[in-house]
Amino acid sequence: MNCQELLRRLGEYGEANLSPDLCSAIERHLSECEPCEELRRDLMDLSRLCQQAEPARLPDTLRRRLERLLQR
Amino acid sequence: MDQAPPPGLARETLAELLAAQGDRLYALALRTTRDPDLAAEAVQEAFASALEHAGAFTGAAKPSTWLHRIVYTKSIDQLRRRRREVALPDEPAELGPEDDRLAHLAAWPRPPDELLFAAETRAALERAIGELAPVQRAILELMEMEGHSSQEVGQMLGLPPATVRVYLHRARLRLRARLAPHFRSGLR
Repeated sequence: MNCQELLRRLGEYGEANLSPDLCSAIERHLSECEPCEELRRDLMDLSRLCQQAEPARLPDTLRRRLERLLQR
Repeated sequence: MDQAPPPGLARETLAELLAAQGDRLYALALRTTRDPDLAAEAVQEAFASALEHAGAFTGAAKPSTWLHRIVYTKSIDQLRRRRREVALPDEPAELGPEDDRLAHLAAWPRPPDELLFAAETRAALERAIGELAPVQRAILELMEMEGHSSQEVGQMLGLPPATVRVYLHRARLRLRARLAPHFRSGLR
């Protein structure tokens, strides 16, 4: 696997549908290629950051309006 | 394994979805429109439409997936009506040279957690997300923030799962590039 193939696959890495062989090839490339490993770490940090985002809350006035709509 | 719901959707099911998923549905609308008033309009229209068309629900998707789809569609309608943004810009559905260029940009200086999770970083992230296309913002909300799979998000947004993964990956590359100066200045 080269860097370009790695980039194509990195978006899928972490989802359950990758074959064990492909996961091994990705991991082998990451262990040998520092720029790709740094990219993976940045994207992992980005995911951790996204998960810390303040969750939005449905405004109470809208929730009550919708509850009334669904009660009619 | 989830049992397939029967055709048609009861009013009570919609009320349960409102109670259990109201915040998430609003979060999707808010992320897509970036405007609390438009998001509220979209969610209200979505529930009205779901109620009106509840009899047409076939059970092919989970009720919550079906409702997410309606909320997303209404959010895009809101943007179109206001001509605020191109809802689905002409984004290639496969990774290409521009994505390669972004991937080869210099890596972040390793930010310590106190900088990674600082309020300034979260504000910078929100600004950077705001520069993405509506569909990418929606995908980011559903996958990164809420943890849905590309399969589920594909059903919610009406896109092939492979396209969802490409859009997400491209969005993440853009956010990484956009946040790099923030981390560099924060570590000086």
